[in-house]
Amino acid sequence: MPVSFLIRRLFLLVPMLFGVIVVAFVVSHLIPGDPAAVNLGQYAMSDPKIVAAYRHQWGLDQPVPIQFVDYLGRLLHGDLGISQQTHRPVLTDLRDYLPATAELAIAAVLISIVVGIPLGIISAVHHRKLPDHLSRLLALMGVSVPVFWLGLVALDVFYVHFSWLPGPGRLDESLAAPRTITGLFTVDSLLTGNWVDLKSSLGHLILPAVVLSGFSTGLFTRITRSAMLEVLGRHYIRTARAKGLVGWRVILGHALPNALIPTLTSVGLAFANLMTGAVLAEIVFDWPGIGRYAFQAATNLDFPAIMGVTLLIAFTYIMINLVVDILYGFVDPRIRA
Amino acid sequence: MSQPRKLGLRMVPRSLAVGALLLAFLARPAMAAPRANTSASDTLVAAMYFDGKSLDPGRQFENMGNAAVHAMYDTLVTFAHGSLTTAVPDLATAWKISNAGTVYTFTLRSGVKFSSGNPLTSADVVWSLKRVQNLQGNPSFLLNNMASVTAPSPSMVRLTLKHADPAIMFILPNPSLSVLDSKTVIAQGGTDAANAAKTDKAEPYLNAHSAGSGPYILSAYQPGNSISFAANPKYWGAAPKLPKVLLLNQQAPTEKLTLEKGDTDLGLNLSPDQLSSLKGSSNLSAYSLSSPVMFFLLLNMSAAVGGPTANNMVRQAIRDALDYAGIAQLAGQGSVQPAGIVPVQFLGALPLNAAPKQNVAQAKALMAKATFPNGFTATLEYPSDITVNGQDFGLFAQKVQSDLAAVGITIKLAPKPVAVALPSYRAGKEQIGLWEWGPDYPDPSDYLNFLPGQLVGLRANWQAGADAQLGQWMTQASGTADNAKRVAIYHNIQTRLNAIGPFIPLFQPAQIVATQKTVTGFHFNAIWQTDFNLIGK
Repeated sequence: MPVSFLIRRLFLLVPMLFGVIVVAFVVSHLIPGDPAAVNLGQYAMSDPKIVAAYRHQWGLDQPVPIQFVDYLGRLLHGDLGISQQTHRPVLTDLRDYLPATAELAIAAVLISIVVGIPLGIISAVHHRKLPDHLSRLLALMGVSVPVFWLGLVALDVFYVHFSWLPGPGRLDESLAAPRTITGLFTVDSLLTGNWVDLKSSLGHLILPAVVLSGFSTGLFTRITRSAMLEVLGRHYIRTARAKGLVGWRVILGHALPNALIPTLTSVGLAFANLMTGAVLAEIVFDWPGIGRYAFQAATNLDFPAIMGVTLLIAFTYIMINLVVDILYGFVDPRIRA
Repeated sequence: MSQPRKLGLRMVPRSLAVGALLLAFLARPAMAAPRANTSASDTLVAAMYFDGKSLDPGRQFENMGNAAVHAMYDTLVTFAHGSLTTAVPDLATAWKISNAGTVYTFTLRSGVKFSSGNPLTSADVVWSLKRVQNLQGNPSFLLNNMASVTAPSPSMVRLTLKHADPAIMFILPNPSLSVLDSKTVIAQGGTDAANAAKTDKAEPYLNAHSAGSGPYILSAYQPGNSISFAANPKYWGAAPKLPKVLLLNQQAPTEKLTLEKGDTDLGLNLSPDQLSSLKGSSNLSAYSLSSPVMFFLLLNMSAAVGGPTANNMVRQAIRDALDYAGIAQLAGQGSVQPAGIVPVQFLGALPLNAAPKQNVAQAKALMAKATFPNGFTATLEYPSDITVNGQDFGLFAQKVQSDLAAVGITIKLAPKPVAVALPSYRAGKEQIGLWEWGPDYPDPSDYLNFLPGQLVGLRANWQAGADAQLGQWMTQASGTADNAKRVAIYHNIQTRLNAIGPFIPLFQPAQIVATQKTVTGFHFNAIWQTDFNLIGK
């Protein structure tokens, strides 16, 4: 992977993020809603003095272009503004809420990879046989079942009835959070040797991560299956077999690496999607992450928070795409060259 | 394409085994340890939906803030347990009202200290009330009628009103009017100055620490997630039954599951459709309490905006066409149809038997008389992305649509996000609107807002002076202290509103609350949910 490629991609980050800022700012200010109407009470809204004070406090009394320039100026100083819903700096909010979502998304992607890719391989190897039908059915269910429904059913079964797994939240309520290093409770408790927290945080992570992984697991299964089917029909696979290579070597050594490229792309996108699309899972599982924060921001027309979350999402997508591009090089030597 | 079957089969168990091992590792800790009940014996774990943005008494005005602030701060007067009809002493042990009803002199309880150890004096009360007034925040309107507040002595507070208003004793218990430790808050950037809206910087401090004299102090606040309280060792009253409270942000479905599991002791925002299964639980006590929230239809009085709804015969036809019993059934067990705009549990509410009933024949006759024998088409706007007391506006909008279709009125449903619908409603631009009103304080005077020229009246373009009789009664209602006379005036107002007004009260939803059967001392309060310090288990 040439260094110039990396530098070029990182340099492109700036115009891309700027574009995102412009679009997000314009779209959020084009909404025919009024933040004052949502955030001020009935009486406060009827008092012009209070409304004026509110607009002044949040900079809404300026023309939109001036607001935009002000925003950009503050952004360049690392200031994302104050959230109207938490009355705290957006940066503090993102710092507090992002690790919870990252932990959930990482766990969900890992589960999806571990389950989805093997299922896709099985499906392709047993094309049009019972294992194929079963894994396709599972994949279909994974992409179709709504997260909020699956989450509630999973809680009802595994938490309420069988008591196999803990309920909502990131940690048992009686426990204090581990010392913050990464913000990921499982990692931090491991790094600090806090085994009680590790046990509790892992237990709390299972249900939301499994539920959230449903869609991406189904996606990986389908993509891996179709890519494997295509590759397994190629001449070089037949040649490999003709040369006497045993089956698993052909599949894992020759077919899978070539079938992994589309899967890798989908893993990257799915991870970004999980980072930003965990709203329902976070609400059902009482998970204090960025999805729940973004939802509250959108319903309250909390412009600074909407902008902060949008920037974070854009940054996440861009960085993950960059990582995926780099990984292509390892999977496919033609790209590396 | 032919695949050597045996090779695939050899590979499959390995990949499955890797996945299974990883899953087993992830699942191992939780499976190895059956879930212990996290609701420790010294902690009350309560769940509610967090609608609040702040724990600063002078800035908050939502259910979450009220519940939390009431746990940490005291007010001059309060309501005992669930009652909202009589103000009782809190920081003030006695009070005198001048003959003109404009000067209230409160005597403060002696020996009260803030959690900081600072003594509570009349100067703190004066500072706190002035701060609320000058912050120009959501609760500032509560003191719109306050001309001045002074401290004649360290134990006396004199509150002078601009005009006599018996509702002030129902306003003062509001948690927003809590008394703060002025020395501490000033040191953290707080101010009661006239320009406090711009210069007060105490909110971040008050979101991280409490500065009150109430039964609890703030241990931790994670916005949107949880609030922890610990008993205030310097509290002047009886020590809280439980030394710790953990308040969690949960939506109704999750609230129910954690209650059933025994991880929470109290769920405050459950939904009506959960009631029957909650009542079926052997471990839970479920309550269908009467919420003072009122859902109503707004029919615009302006011909330009409302068209046919500007015609009173049409409005009466709509009133007659609605199936109130069916609406109450949709709202679930515990909901009621108020007869007027004042909620059934407040002073001045009309008796339930005076409520309008469906009369489709009469509605059709009125439509014909109003020269709309073939009906008309109208737009009904409502907020589509919020629920109130678990009630979805869309469900009731559809019910209204189907009821009005029976008298020839075609309703076009216009659901909008609340951020978009609210400005339209408040600007009086809705032909027909479906909204709710939650009381700002438990007194019928809060409902004078529905009269011509007032806050909600104007949203239906009902201009001041549109009805002289109502105007006269409104003046009388504001200046009358005698409760019997007030009841009569409010009955008159509501009867007239039902006859000519633009509002149709539909129902008051139930507030569904559940506790573990082991919980004692729970009382629901419509303003601050409950007194956490009185709850034991």
